[in-house]
Amino acid sequence: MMEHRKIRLSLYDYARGEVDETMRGLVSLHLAECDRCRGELEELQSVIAITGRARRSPSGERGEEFWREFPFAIEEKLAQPQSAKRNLADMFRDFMRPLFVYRRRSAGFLAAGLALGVIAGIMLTQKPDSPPLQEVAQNVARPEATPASTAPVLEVDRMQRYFRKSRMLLVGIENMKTAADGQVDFAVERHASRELLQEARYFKYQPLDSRSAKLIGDLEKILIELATIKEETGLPNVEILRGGIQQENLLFKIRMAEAIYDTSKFMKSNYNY
Amino acid sequence: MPAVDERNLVLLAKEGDRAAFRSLVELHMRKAYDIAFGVVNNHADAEDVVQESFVRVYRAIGSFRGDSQFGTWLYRIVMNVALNRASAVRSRARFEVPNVHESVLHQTQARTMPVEDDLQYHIERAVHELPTLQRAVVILRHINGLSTKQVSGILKCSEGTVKTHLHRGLKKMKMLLSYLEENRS
Repeated sequence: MMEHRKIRLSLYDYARGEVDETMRGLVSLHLAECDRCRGELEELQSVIAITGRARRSPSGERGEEFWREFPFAIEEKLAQPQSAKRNLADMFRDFMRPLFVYRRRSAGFLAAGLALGVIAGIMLTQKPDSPPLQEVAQNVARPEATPASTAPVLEVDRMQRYFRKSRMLLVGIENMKTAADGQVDFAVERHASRELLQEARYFKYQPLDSRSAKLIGDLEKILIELATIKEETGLPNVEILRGGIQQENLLFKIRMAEAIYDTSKFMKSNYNY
Repeated sequence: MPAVDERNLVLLAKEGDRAAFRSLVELHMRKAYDIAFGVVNNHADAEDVVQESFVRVYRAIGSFRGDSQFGTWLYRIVMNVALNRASAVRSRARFEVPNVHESVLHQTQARTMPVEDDLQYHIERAVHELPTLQRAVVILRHINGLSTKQVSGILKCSEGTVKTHLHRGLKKMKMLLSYLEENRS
């Protein structure tokens, strides 16, 4: 993998013939077995060819007379008093450019570090406030109204959303029409399945009944396949996905789970009333 | 010119020798111009940028320690001045109302352009669509043919970063050029 990345970044030098013999041999060997790098090399070669065809030298477009006079023009500028002070904004930009333009990642880490430091500072300096008297009185009067008792209601909502989205995604795949060339665009489905996978991973650590846990596990397998599928894929891959959905009878199970969670929410809400 | 001679010229320029500084200008002015032109994309601005860069270099040459080559230091200044100029032009353009007659004239000129110029125009447009770092790397490494090591010195980043951004920049350019080509046809 590391070798692939290193070679991929050397493809430009290779295309321009600017690599030594050893590197040339390594790249050639890799190209023989890596379709992706071969494709990228072709792309690079075509850009080099296009830009090379229209390459011009801007300095060459100015006549010899211009270049003879150029050093004198600079000397004239140097002879002028240093009245034109550099714009403050330009100076600031020059100072910050290496950090914020050329090294955005470092700047990101720095900003994140600073933000964490500020948050930690605020948390350390804050004294724990005593709860207001009214709140204390309410807690004494209603000891059952703890956060733990409200948590399951929230979980149900989240679970319902998860099942509804999953159902919509699977129905979409079931009804998906293929283009004339047999290619299917999976970009949106990929994105949605990645979001749902995160949710599924969250639910894994929640106290679930065995049926819901099994359903989430089965669903996760399909979501992983969807999340890793190519953005544009052919009909056979779609058929494999559909086969998986039908084999596990996933749509039916999701509808059942949704109905159960709807009922439990209804019961809970009635109970609370 | 050998590196030793250039180092001597720098030492003399540091002591205030105008002739030595002029030799340094003559040595680097064309390359500096090509780099500046890559960013600002017109002769008048490129000329201003290079002149301003040399003035800055002259005034700061006393603080040049010689850790990097003179050329690397100079081109870094040229790049900074050119990027500032380009961003100033962009922000000015945001507040300006386009001149109708001028735009019509440009369209007429564009239609009568020969194919080579048309391609050149597309390439310049594609370069200017790139994000700042990718654009800087493509201009320095690909268009001006500086080595990866020199570019990493100019932009103060690692050689790996230069290679990565060159790769990404050229891929993006390829995409943009194909799109422009399709639109043209």
